Amino acid sequence: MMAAVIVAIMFSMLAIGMPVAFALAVSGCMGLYWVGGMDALTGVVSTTPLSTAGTYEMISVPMFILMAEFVILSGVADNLFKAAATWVGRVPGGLAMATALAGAGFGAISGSSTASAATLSSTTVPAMLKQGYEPQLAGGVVAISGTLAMLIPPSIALVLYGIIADVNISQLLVGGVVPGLMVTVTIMLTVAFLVWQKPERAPLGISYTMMEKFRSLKVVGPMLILFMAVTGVIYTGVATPTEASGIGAFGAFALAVRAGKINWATLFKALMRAIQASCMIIMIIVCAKIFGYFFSLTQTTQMIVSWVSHQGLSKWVVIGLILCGYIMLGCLMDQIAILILTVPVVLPLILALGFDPVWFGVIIIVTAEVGLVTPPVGLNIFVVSRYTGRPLKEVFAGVWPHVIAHLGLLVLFVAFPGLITWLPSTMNP
Amino acid sequence: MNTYQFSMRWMRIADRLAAYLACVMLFALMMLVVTDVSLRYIFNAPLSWSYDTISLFLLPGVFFLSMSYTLSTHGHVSVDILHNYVSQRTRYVFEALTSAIATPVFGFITWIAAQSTWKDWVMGTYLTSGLEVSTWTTTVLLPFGFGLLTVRSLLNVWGYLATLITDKQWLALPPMSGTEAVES
Repeated sequence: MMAAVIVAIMFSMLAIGMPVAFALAVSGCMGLYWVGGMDALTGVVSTTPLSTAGTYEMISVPMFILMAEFVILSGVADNLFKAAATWVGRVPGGLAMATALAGAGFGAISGSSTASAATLSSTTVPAMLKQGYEPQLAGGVVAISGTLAMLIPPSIALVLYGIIADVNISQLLVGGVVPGLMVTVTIMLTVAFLVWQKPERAPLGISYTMMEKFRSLKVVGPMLILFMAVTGVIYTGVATPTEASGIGAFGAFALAVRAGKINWATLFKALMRAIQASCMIIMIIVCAKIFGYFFSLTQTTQMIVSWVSHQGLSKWVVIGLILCGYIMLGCLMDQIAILILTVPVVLPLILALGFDPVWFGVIIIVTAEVGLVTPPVGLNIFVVSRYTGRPLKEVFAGVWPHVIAHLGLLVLFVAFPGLITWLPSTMNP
Repeated sequence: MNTYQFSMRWMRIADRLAAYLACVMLFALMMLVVTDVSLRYIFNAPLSWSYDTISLFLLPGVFFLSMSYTLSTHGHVSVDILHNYVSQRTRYVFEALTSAIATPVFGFITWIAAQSTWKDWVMGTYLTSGLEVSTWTTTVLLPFGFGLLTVRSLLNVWGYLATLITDKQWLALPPMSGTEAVES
């Protein structure tokens, strides 16, 4: 009862536009005072912010964000599309497929989906439109390809899940590799289908000589080095994700220096953007922690778990309902906020049903990818529309086929958990 | 210049200075992690003080020092669906209301944190970790960061209310998601 009232208050505050973190802090403090009086409230408030913000694993959050900033600055990502287009540009729908490949490549060195969508938009869409591609097709493929950064390691979202759920972050990051590749292939197949259906959607491009093809690979080198410096060292167990995030940020910084893109102004801008993005995320985590104490005191999570297990539903029905819930929430709220708000409550339920926490982490990131491109709050759609100057409606229309394909893939991941859990299981213990 | 504009100007300066310090700390954090990892794997000689320096100073510093600045740039993510369907005036009412609700909570956290930092200072306690440093040097980040956030939030209440009352724009509404200026 108490928990229901406080949650209702929290949602009302969210609805009228209070920042997510603030709504959590305010309702959490109210709840703590209600349950445990002043002592409980002061106890939590005086220790939680500092201890949560100082959690060592938290380093990965600002570091991966900073890495994404430096990657953009270095211009490493700009030529990925050109290289991919040299190889597959001749195939029907080739430039759109190259966009998916560039999205995967960018995702392998950056953990931020919006940064990826922004970078991809500015290079790929003009190229596709110039070749006479249907604008809808072009916008849609960029928006969905941008979401790959969230799934392919390094991924800020997976790190967050690891921190909140207390799940091994190395395994989570490695667990994103195979699904990431499968999503990339799915995007390409969807493009192939759309072009097969209506060939005039994507006029054929020019072909390149073998020499040009190999020369284009030059840009892949720095990307691969950076990918190995982060995901490679995590997979082989050489470094922890925390250390790897620092190495990744530094590696991207070094690439930016080499490219001559670092001066006081650009460095300062990258740092300023990184502290804001980090602060936003850490603030939600800290405030969610305060709110979490209230939930533990009222034993709400246990009540929900036992209530669900007494319903006698099959575990597949429960997971189906949970994923539908995530997809609906994804249409309304920011993905990171959803993750931090729901995981502490949903994960105990998932574990009680006997599902694997690493598998579930990757699964909700795949659903979050859908949330990034569905109306009304599809962040990536906003980004693509803003950077290309195309109307929102057009990008939303173009992304639908991809959303359907994505949901099909999600069903596949739920039916065959091994697709996600296999690669992490081969890691060095 | 009225009192509000005067306070806002000083607030902006304070926020910016704190954010600059956070930037320096973030860069130092990156360099320290890389140095520590290199020393550990290449020379097998990690820095003994890096862990504590990061988790007690740099990481909390990056966070607490940028809280208020991030509020000023509307960086704290919110759900603005409802804002799409209401009038400009109602949006001001919403903003004033949410800021007015949040301010006392931040004020309370600042007060509690300040008391505990004061205690650390008076008692002269030292950190129990490997670093031989007074406890207040790290705990002071909390009242400082939340203090700035409280004042910023209070100024927001003032700005939004004044706009509602005088019908002149004292403080602009946060941009709706998707309408922020395109960065070059």
